[in-house]
Amino acid sequence: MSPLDWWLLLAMLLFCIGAFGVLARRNTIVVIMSLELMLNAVNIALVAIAQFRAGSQGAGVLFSLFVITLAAAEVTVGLGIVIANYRAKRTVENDHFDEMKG
Amino acid sequence: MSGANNDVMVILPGVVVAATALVVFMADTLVGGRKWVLPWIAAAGLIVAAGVATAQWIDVGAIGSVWDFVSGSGSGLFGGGTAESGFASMVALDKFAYYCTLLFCVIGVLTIMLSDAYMKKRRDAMGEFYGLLLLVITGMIGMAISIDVIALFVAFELMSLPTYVLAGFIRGDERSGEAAIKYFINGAFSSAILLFGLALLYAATGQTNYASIAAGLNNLGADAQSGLVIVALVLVAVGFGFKIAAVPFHWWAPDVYEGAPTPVTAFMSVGIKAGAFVGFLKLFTVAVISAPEVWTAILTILAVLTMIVGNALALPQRNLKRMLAYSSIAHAGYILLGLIAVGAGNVSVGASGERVLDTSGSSAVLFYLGAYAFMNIGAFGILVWIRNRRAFRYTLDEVAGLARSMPWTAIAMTLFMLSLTGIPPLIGFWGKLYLFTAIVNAGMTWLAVLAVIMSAVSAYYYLRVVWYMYFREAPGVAPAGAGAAEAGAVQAGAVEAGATVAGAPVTVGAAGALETGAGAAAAEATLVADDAGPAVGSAAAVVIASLGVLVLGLYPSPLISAAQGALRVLLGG
Repeated sequence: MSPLDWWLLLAMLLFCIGAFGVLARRNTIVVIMSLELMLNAVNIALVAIAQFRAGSQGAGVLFSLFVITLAAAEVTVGLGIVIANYRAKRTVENDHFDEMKG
Repeated sequence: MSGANNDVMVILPGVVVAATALVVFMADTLVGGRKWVLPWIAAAGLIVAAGVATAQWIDVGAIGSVWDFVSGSGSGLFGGGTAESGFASMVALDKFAYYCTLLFCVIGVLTIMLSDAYMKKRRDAMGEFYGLLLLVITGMIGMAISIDVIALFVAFELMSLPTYVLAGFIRGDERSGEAAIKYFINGAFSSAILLFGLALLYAATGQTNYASIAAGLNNLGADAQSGLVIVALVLVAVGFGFKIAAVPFHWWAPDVYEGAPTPVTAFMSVGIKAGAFVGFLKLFTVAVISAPEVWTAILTILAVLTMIVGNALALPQRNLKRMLAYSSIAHAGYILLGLIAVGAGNVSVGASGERVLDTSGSSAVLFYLGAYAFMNIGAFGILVWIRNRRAFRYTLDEVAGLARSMPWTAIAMTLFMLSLTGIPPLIGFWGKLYLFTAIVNAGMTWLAVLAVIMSAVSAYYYLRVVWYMYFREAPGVAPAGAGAAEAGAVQAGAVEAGATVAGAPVTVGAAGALETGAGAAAAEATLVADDAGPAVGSAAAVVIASLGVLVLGLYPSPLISAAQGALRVLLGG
């Protein structure tokens, strides 16, 4: 396997760990951390592609800078929503969010 | 084709909307008690942006579009044409972008008008509401103009992030907060999946620009069907499916649509969906057009599931907001047909070996997004309007007898329900006709047959609303109190008719009389009618939407030619 494949494998592994965290964990703070892990896994992939793939023009590095910024914005909005919910419900466990069904 | 001037020109409508958002945020702190100016500022910004887009449309005349590249009319993204790209080919102007910008501005203005009833009671939060709404629209415009996966992802997030906040806008309300957290987690999850898909696409081709990705996939030849490309396209389709609430990625939609404030729900079901569709329409039909079999197969599965499950789950719903949420899922399935039509039948190889792209599928998507904007904003507008006039929990039982108590409202609602079903001569009929024609022309008749059957199924839950409004008595009417209830209803109806004619304000007393007289949900009436007076803006939004549904239904050719003009390929004229 080429070096790029190893890096992509690492990224995919981290991405799956993050995805598992989002799907399996109850605590919304941990869910947000898992979301960040997913985005950062992609960052590793992007930087690795820019480094190892011929003719990739370094766009991946640029892309990862955008992703870092967007991830920061996303976690800000997410934590804001979690805090607003905590004020109303006094909990951050997401199995308490079950007002609506059907 | 670079240089600062061009760069700014390309994104000018988006810049206008974003600048207006900042003005609204600032004005919010400066105007003191005169918060009523904020929606006017926001609407004015959108109208200016629409004007700029129109001026650019006229100015550029007969330029090509990004699809010229696919049609093989030239070597570059714009063929030999004169269309302009900016920021190192991150974004590009073409008629497609203009059409979408105009559509998004119309949706934005209608949403601002619609939110009148809702914001009257929350004046201190007006700045945030309209500012965030404008930022979402900026993101939607970004989706329409981006021709690079980096720009696409930034626009996608700009479109998504403020929406999470808007969904949770009623602070302290558990349902709204629950809608926000569910939407946020699902939305952020789907963004990450989309991002990974885009990264793999970059890994496969080494490019991020749509045209370069297409060229890269062409160079790969048979390898374009490789595992890497397939996985990338599946991940992109999953991220896209989440955003448009396609089955099996739809589970968040009903809860979010029910919990969010109704004007926001209207906007999400129409605006966010339109933004996602135009962005991915461009991605699929420009960047990965070389591998149409792969993404057409994925989208076909999504479309079939979405149409069947969306309609089936809408059938038992008795909450109108939830019913419209599931029906909105079903409509996403219909719109997917247009995308499939582009991939399935229309990429043929011309006589001299060039790729010929028939645009009927894409223009059907654009037309349907416009048509759907009018009818769905109208339907949600009716809910806002009823809620403005009296206690209303959005249940089917509460609209029983509406034809008597609010006759004009019932007529407008009937119009929207018929249009959503697809009954001629309303605009929804033309939208479905174009989508289904496109998919038949693409050689997938079975899909069109399924869609028609599912439309017939949808008639049940749409027309049930009409049946309740016209042929059911108001609920909770004891036989003894029936006379009083009718008197109250007639009185309120008379007052409403009076208000419609003379524009006179309806007194709260009359609405109260209806509530007491009909005893509607009095036992559990923690909800009361918004007592801030009639929301003229919301009523106007409903009137405009019904005119759109009716007039464009009788005379659809302007919208059709606009949708087709947006996709005119240089080579084919």
